[in-house]
Amino acid sequence: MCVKQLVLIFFVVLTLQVFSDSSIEDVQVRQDLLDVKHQTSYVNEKVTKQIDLSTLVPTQRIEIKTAFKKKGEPSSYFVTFQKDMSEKIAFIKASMIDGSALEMVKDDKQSINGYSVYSINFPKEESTKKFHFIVELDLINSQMPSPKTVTQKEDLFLVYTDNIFFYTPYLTKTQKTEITFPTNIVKSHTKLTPTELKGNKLVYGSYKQINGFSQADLKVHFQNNQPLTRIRSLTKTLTVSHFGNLFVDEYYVVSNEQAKLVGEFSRLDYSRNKHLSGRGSFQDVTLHLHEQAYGFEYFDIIGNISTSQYRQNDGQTDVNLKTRFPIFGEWKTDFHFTYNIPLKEVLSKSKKTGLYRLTFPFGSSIDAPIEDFEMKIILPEGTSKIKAEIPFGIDSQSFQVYNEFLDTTGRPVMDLNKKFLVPSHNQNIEIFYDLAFIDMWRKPLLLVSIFFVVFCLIILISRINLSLYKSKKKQD
Amino acid sequence: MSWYPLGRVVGGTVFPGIMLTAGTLYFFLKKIVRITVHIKHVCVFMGPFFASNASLITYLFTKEVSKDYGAGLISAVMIAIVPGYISRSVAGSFDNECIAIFALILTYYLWLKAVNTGSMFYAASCALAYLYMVSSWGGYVFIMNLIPLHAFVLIIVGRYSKRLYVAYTTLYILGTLLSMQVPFVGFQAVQSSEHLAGMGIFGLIQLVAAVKYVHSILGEKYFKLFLKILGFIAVSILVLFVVIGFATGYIAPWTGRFLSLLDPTYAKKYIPIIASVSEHQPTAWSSYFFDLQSLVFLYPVGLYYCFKNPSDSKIFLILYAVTSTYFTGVMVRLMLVLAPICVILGSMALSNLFKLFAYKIREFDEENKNKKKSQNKNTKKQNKKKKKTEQNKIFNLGYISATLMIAVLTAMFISYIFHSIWVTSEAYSSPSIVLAAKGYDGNRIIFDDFREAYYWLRQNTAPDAKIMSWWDYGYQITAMANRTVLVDNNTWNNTHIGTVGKAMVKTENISAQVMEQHDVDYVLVLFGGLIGYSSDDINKYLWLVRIGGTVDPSIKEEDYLNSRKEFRVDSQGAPTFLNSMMYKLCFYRFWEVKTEGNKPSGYDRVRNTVMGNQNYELEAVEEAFTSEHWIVRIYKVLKKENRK
Repeated sequence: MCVKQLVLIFFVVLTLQVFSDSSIEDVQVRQDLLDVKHQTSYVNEKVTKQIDLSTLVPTQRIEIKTAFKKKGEPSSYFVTFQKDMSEKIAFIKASMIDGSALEMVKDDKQSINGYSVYSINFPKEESTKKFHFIVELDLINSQMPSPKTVTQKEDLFLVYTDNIFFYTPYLTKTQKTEITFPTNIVKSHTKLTPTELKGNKLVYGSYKQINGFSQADLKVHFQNNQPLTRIRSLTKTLTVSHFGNLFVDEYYVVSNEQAKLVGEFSRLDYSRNKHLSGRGSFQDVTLHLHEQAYGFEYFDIIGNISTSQYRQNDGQTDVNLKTRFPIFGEWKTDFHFTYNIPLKEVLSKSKKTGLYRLTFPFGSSIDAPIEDFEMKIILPEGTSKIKAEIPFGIDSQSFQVYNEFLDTTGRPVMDLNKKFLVPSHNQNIEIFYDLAFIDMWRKPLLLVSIFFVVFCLIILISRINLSLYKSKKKQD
Repeated sequence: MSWYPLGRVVGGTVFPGIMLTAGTLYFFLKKIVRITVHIKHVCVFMGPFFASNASLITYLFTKEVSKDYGAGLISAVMIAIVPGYISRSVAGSFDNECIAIFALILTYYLWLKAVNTGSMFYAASCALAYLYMVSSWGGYVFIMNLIPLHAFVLIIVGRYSKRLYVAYTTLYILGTLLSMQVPFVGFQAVQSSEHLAGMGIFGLIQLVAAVKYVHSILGEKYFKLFLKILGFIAVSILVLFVVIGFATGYIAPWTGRFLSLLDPTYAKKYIPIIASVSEHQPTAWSSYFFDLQSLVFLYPVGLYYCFKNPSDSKIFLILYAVTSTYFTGVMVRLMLVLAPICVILGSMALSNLFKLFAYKIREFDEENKNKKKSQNKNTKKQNKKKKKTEQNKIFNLGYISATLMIAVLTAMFISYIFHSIWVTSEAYSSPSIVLAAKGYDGNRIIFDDFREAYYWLRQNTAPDAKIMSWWDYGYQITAMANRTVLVDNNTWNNTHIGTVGKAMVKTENISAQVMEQHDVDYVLVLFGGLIGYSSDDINKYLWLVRIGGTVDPSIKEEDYLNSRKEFRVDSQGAPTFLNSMMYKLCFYRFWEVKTEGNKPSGYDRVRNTVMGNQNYELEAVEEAFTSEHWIVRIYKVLKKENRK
């Protein structure tokens, strides 16, 4: 430990010396996370950071033009985030400017003290050693209502905090930051010349010659009267029946993360004008389901909820659910939504390995961030070699046993858990498993054999005469 | 929790039968048959399940009484759809009554079986069935009075037999002992005057048995003297017992519900809480027809057959029919008890009538056949002559009327089926928690306000919030909103209900005090003025006043009526009413709403008038939630420091 710390201190001193001619004064140079040798390997020629706060899930799109300044093969490019930002990242993705995906790996060795470090390895064939690529982030828990409580007729405001600069270990030649707000009304924002607010767009920069690990606090306070739909928890249970059906039960706890409603809730005002007196509230959610989904049920613990409608668009079924009551800030409700899908739509069998492959979307059918997600896949009895392939990391994966109608050994249940999901996580996952043909017929055979044995016994018993002498009645 | 802050001993205030039955069924399905089923679904299907059991038992019962398979079958068909019973046995009516009728018919069936056979086995089984009845419904008192009455009448009319003695003594001793095991009943089974008849007849039957025995030994001469002495001693002992019993308070006086059976006006005079329930109102004549249809005409016919050819069990039917007819006249809820006997008597009548006329037709047919046979023997000449007379015979009056009668009876039976199906679908199938109406374009509009508001309470109030509402909604709030209520449908404490009534009908200041004393967080009221839902709290208001008056004498009904003794919500209403808490909660900001195009705003569509007191502010409470159609309005009680 001691040696490591000493090395770090040494690097800090070194960095301070190297970048002492910093052009921006309030830049804090932080160097407690990275191996410094990478800092000089790349130079960012142009960085454009676009923050979109107008959507339900705030996103960041960072466009980077960078060049490798050393000889030989380009080494890994590191994308770093500070502690408070790392906690907000729900989903991260990198791609070249032409759209081809880049592999981005979280470097757990260097991600210490809350900082997160991702490494990107560029394709080898780039001869110029110049790379133009995009990092996209989906944020969660990034904006807070301020004030925290409102009355029914007040406007709602949110606060968003970030770093104006792209927090990178490398020197950046020019940088620009753009923020898009849902409306033109921005109560306050950090100023760092040049700063320009035009309509619902706030532009910082461009700034020249920014040192690595530069930091300038960004705080914006803006109006957002849109509801902040949030799924507090979602439990998705898939029951696979090899007789041809997949039953899906989705249990949602939905809330609204807007400022808490205090004082009266007047139904009169609400029904007169939902825009003026129902600010930030919502009463319906839309589920995007598989095209072949059928047999919908929408209910909660006290019975069915009668207000829902669905339509089939090309490629998917949209179900619009109306909640029992409007959801204002910090109100919540819960409900079950169940449906069926013909199994052949989602299940295939590989000829090579002989394994079944179940393809089903992860995450929620509603486009909203999720706090706590659990996906249970109940597979038929006798299933073995179960393996899940998920395009991103999840928190935990476990197996359970579930017993229902006529189950003898129980059905294996795969339980997947993940916290903080955004709609970008709604990607297909694949579950591979093996199931022998005979296992499918376990229950019918069980029933048949039981009845067979019973009937045989009855036949036997009725044929056996245990009496010692013939009854007199028969003789008569 | 309910009955805040008193709490309620559940075991001592409810009949456990229905819960035990549902729990047992659930356990059986889940643990033994291993079917994945929710307790909710078991509860939902309890009604239909027990109705089908009742149908089977009715078949046995009718067969036992009439010794006629046909009558039994007809009765099974009829009880399956009789509206009076189906109202309590549709899927989802998880109430005491849904198993009680099955238990009732079972008990009676076993009793008749015991009387007819003199078997101690049947009498003991009857006691078990009686235990089940006691554990499930307060109506068991009806059994414990009807069976002694039956025994008494049998003795009076000289039909005393050893069979009766065995049946009655076994049933009474075992039945009473068993019924005392139900916590809600306990020692009432021997102490309360409702059960006194059973005990009296038990004594009487011992006496009769002893007298018969002595008679067989003594001979006529000494027997008369013996009777006189014995009679005197018996009567004086009985009187002494009763006097001592009442004087020491050992025998409880008759409870209100029972008294109101004997004297229909009793409840209205003394116990407003009993009278306030619409089910406890006297039955309107039309509802007899609505709930029984053609059975109304058929069951007197069945009674005629009982009188014509009496037996021990037919006397029982007569007694059952007469008493239950009287009781339905008192309380509409007891239509449920009348329905089975009507079905049994009606099916006996139908079966007998069918047989009567069918035999008539058969007789004619046989006569004709005989004639044809004789004709074949005769020559052709004679044949031609006779043909005309034969035709005359076929269209003979008796034949026609018999055919006509069968047609009429069949039509009656068919119309009964259609009527029952119609009533079931129109009146008894819709859940009372979800209201439906037809829109102008014929579309069905659903008012799901209750569940909307209850679910809001469940999701968006503190888990320990205390909710004050009129007792009608107590169970619903407890179950659907999962919150603590002050009073609920188990009306075991009238004072507490009276206090809630007081809080609702007094002014806002006094109401706020009462609510503060009881830790109330939310007040819930029902208001139908916006969409015209008539069973709201304003229409119940006078009951609140009457029941509230039992705890606070300053609440007088006449204060809430105007000078012309009218109860009005418009400007001519009584000022006490227009300034009461309930009025203010129901009508808050209603004056801004235009309900009908050509009427001024604040027009109440239930009372068909414009609300009286307008433009007031609420001080002690604030609107917390109002359902989409304003049926349920919930107010948050403000802490003293937060008030305006």
